Amino acid sequence: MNSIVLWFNQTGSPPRFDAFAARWTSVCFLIATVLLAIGVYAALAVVPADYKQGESFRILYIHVPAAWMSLMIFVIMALQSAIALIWRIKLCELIAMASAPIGALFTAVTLISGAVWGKPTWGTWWTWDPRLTSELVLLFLYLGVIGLYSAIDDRRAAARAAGFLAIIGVVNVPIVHFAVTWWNTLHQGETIRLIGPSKMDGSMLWPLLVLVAATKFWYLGSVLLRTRALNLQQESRKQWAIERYGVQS
Amino acid sequence: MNHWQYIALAYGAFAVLMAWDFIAPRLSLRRTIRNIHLNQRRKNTP
Repeated sequence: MNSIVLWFNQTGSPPRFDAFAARWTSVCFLIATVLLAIGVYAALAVVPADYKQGESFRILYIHVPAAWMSLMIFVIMALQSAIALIWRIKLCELIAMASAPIGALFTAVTLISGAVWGKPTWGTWWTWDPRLTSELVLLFLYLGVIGLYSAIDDRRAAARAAGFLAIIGVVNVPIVHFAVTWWNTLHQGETIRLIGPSKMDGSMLWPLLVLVAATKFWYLGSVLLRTRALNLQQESRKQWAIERYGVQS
Repeated sequence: MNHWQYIALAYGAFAVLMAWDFIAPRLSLRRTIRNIHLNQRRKNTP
């Protein structure tokens, strides 16, 4: 137990985190790229067409992993912000703020792929359905966090203000998730369950699981890289940063 | 549009956004490292 706490404390120091992120970013992106290549190939060329929706159901393979990531990243962002506010851990602030653009990206992928899937399936690109609307609100919350963090000059104060917004905004996450249960909606209900049997056949399910894993590794790589960049921006006048990066040719 | 064109549109948007996520933080990091280097060089120049 003590060794785990020690590891967290050590990795939380800016120079150690910089070295840690530099080492693991490429590994995460490499795993994510391999999994993405396998998953996208299987989604487009291996799995059979759906008996009802035909070929258009293949959009599910990017839509669902992106939607799950959009929710998961917001929860991580709110948790990191809460930890940063309570214990004043600078690295948690940076992780929370680095997560915002990645979450916004996955939310945008969800909304765009959903609109493109909606046109051949529902006959419309967009409708003010509870699931779609709450996901759009999630995108605005991400953009609000990014905007607030950029608008305040003092980096620590900016992270605290944006962190508050993330903590308040996390209430939207269960609304997005349960929108298909709580209200009558055009959006289909749960097809894939983490606990219990899924309504999807195994031959169609495995590429989805591969792409879910790929997006997780992508997030890990991206958050390490973005946190490293933010960390270095704030530490650029510190001795360790000058010694490590000030003498490059 | 047929179904494959919708699929191409969705996967294309996904690829563009992921490429942005791959490139943008690298450019930011490179800019920061360059600034540290330039500041240090300016400081060392008599």
